Amino acid sequence: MTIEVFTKDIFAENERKSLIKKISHFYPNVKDAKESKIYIVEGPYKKNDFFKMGKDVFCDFISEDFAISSGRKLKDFMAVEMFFKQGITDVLAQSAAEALIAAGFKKTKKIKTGKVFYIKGLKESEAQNAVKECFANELIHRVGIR
Amino acid sequence: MIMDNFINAREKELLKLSEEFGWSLNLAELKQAQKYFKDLKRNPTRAEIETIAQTWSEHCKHKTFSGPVEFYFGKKKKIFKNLFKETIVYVTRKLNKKWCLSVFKDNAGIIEMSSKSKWALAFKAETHNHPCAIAPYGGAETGVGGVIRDILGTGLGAKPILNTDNFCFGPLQKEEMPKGFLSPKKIFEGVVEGVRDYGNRMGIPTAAGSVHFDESYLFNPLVYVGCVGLIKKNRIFKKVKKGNLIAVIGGPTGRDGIHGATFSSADIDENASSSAVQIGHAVNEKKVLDVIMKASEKNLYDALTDCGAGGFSSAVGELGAETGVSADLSKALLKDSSVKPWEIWISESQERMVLSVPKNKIKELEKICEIEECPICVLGTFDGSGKLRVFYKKEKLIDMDMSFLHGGIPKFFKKAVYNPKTKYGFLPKERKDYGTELKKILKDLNVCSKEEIVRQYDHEVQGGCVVKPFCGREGFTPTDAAVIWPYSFTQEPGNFEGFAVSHGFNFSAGKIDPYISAFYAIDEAVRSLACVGADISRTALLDNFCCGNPNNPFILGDFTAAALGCRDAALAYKTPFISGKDSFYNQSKVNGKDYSITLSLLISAIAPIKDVRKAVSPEFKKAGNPIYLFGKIKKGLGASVYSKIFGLKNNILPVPEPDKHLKDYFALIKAIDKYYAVSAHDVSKGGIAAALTKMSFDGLSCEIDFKKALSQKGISETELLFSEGTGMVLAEIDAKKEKEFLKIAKNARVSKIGSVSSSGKISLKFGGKKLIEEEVNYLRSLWKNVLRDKL
Repeated sequence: MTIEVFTKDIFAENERKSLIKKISHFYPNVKDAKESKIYIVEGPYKKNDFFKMGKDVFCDFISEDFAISSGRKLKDFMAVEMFFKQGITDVLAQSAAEALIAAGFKKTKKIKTGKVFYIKGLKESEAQNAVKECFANELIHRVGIR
Repeated sequence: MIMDNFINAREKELLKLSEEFGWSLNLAELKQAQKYFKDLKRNPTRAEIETIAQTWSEHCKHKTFSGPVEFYFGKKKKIFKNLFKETIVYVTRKLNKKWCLSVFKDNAGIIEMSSKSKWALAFKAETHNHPCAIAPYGGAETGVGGVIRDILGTGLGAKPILNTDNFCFGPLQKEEMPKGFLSPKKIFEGVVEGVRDYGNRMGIPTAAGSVHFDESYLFNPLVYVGCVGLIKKNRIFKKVKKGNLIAVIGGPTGRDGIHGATFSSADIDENASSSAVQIGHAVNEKKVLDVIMKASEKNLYDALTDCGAGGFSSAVGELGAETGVSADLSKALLKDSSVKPWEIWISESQERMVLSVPKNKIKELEKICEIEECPICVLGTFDGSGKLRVFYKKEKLIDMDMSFLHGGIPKFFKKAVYNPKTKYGFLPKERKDYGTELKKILKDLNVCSKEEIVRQYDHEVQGGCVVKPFCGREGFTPTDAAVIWPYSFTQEPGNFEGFAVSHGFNFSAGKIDPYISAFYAIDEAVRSLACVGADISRTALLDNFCCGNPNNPFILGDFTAAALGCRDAALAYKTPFISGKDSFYNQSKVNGKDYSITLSLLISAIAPIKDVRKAVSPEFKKAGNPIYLFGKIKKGLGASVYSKIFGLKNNILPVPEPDKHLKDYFALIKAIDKYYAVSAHDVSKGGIAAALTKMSFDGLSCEIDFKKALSQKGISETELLFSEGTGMVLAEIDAKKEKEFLKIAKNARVSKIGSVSSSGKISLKFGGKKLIEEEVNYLRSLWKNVLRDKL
């Protein structure tokens, strides 16, 4: 199950500005940009359990919100995912797994983490390239359109 | 896996094998290994060759610096049997300072805080250039993690109390890069974030450093990371005892960083492998730190070292070099079961330490690990056989003599050629006003504010940072050195002993004259310590050299000249080296052409301060106080920011005068100790004009007349304002103590050049001629926003 964590819009202004500034170096047409953290959790849990994980473990409920399963639905935005390639150590996933176990989710099998960038104003290929140029290191990251 | 036909392979086949498996061994080394196994009448296993490759790598053995060199200087020739011993080590042996407690033999150098103190300081700086070039965030993180573990592994475990960082990047505006190379901006951001995250998460302040930009670092960034630790004097020696267990604490072993050590012995190209990327985990290292501090208190081990480049092969091999080793890799904790045995042996998975633990103490150590949630495993014993024997369950992977592994590396002469550059000293025409020049200099990337970086680091954690990276009421003024009071660890009320750390680095001088550039670096480091009031008579140095491929005689020529410069400068300043590192192969092949960095020498300096409450910062303190210049302004704009910005053909380097400089610095320290000098700042990038401007950033400004300054006869106005030679310090003296100050400074070269003012303008003139008059607030805004705008 995918748990997507993102900053609430009222706190996300600086994050947006920073993303737009970086992308606009390569693609001045960019109109808006947002990002989310992704946790893909494998384990024998029900939807309600994943909801609890998002709320109690992964999300700072004051400044952040989360979505499970299919992620955020943002109109006119291209969603570009970035994950570690196979074999690259995912330190955040290790810590997340420890946190889940400490929170009582002891049957957690595997966690994978990544990021999703939502970009408005660019074509699919441009959005994908923007993430590759600005945020990813293709030696260790895999980038693709969601 | 047996390397079939290794002992009968021809030269070409050996080289092909080395390239195929990424060993970075040269032909002489391959033949030496071949001979060893031929004598044993068997082919080696892959694990054995991998162990040789790791142990003999440039990273682990520093074979160029500690090897023989034929040095050609013009028509002269000099032979060095061991360049390192005849330059760096020579200084330390010659000076023979009693306060140097451990030099060149442990993970870090150790000096005492004072003869009365029970504490000593461990200091080490590393480079992590190649990993940062391909994965900046992970490379920087693991660089910091590695140097912290070096300190943890010094003696019987020092407590890390300060991190330092020095970076060199390509110009930030370069965004289009050839395939396989990251843009300087991306590297910059990744490196800063990596250093920030690791240091902050470990709870260690990052407070001393510098950032430099130059075209020569476009494909090969330099990332120097350092760490200072505190250790009790009676805990600085370690010895592995026969029969002790090989205990490994910390993170599990994966495929991370395979071939990291041999990777640093190769040029970077677009085919760099992702397996050479290392990933850090600061929280795991914090657990390791806590275990070691507790175990050290209870005396649960006899020796320890960190798993750095080469992983177990280096760490276990080094610890067991005298006793011998018998280890079973199936006992190692793994990230996943697919890791092959030879990979376990050389993996550079981070956050692991190897301890030599007496059998009767292992249970107590395991208990501490359990409490700290830190994994532990026992790989085997230091068995007294004098051999390195490594198994995976019943399969024998390695059976080699320690004497061959550590003493078998062949030595061969390398040729070094140094040709001095032609000198030219053009000067610009005199101008009516130099305000425009000053503004351009303040906006230069090498001069502008580095606040965008510094503010990301936590320099307040542990509560001991006395002179911080920025000082003054508003925190606008950049400082010369960090001053640390380690009370949070010593817990000794009434003890105000501390220490200061500074750096000297001048790549521009390195391009003109590597020999003199060493004087510049050492002088800058010592001068910065003097500016905060540290006891520079007890200064200890670290040398960190970076350059391109040493098989190029001209690159090795520059390197050799710089090493000789280090020897002569350190002797002149009476400052011993206690540790250091060299990093070669900082060069890249782009479209078939080799691009090498310029010779880059970082000198890190550390000195104790008897009373940290007396340390001073650079911002002006009181209007009306006189401003004195220590030292003499000399002709020459070589290596200056001015020359670079305005394309001036002037490579004349002002000549250093260490003996005279030292007299000036000792007078300054005395003035600080007596509270006569209330602020001090060294003259570095941008010259005196830039230094005075920075001292004015926190409210008070200055009125200066250069006619009164001690300067070389016939010096131009441009040189007066922007020359960047050695030995110059600006100091504000308490007006009420001026007479007393002049008495103690009678043997020093001091000249009163003006006074502190509250006008809000800096006013620099020469007799009746106005040179610069500018609003400080405006200059500050220019200087402050450059980096922010570029990111």
